[in-house]
Amino acid sequence: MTDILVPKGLWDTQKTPEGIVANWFFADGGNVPEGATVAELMVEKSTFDIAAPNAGRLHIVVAKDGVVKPETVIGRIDGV
Amino acid sequence: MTSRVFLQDFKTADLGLLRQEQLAEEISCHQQRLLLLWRAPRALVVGRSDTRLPHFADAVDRLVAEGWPVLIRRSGGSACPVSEGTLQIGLARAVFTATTIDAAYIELANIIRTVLESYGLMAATRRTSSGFCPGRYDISVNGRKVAGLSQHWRQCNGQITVTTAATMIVEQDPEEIAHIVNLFYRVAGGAERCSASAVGALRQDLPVDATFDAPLMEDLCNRIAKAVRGEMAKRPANIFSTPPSAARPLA
Repeated sequence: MTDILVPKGLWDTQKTPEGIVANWFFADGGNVPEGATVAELMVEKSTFDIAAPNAGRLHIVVAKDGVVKPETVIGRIDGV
Repeated sequence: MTSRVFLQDFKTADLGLLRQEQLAEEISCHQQRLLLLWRAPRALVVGRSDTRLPHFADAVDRLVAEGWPVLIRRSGGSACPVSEGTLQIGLARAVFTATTIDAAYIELANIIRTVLESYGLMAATRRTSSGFCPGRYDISVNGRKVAGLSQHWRQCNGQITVTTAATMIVEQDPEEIAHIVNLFYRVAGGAERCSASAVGALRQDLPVDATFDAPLMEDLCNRIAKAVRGEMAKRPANIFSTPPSAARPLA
């Protein structure tokens, strides 16, 4: 199981405390290829595409519109 | 760091937006920055969250009837105008692990402020809440927003890239911007509003008799290209320290 993480230090949480998961591009339980854009974060007018760290089955931890910070685990991937 | 600059006029704003979104795919190495300066006929470019407004489709139809087609962009934020009186700026580069969203914004904000200061204008970086598409990295002159920034981070060719985009109001009437933004949100059922008094334009902030070697838009592009290439003095690191103040006359 591999975590899908919001990158550490992606933004200054002193200025912008939180972002949100704006979109999931694969369904919970669906198979994703390595490197595919699986989710999109939105923080301070920035969109950040999150790529799948490896191929496998996606488990969504933070649903669309859920609040995130750097290092939040937003999903996990079961290797195939 | 090497910088390549592209200047382009597009027949439609969707072509310009597409080119800007593809810019990051052309980055060949960590040491390269690509700058796209572009103009296009009128369009209102909205964020994807705007498409969820209850009467979005009605708003699109209404704005088309007004001569402002609606486009949806990948970068964040809300409705921004594109027109031949605005300059669209896209700065794409690969990023290193220590780079933050804030640092990428500050890089382009500093470039824009350096250019505004070359015209003798004191610019500030801070949210203009009643302007269009408000955000922390709004650039204002005399308290009125003249540029708004947004970003898109994505992986391209195995590296993380960021395109920081800006809409700069150069010769577009702020009243018309406020009208079209407000019309969109009123019809779409959104709460956001834009006050014309919170929006500025570079032309309005310059002395009436100011003259340049080229027409203002062309002169502005030349100065931005110079700033990106590091051919203008750089601003200090803290961009939040300068309050807005009255415009200074050109020397």
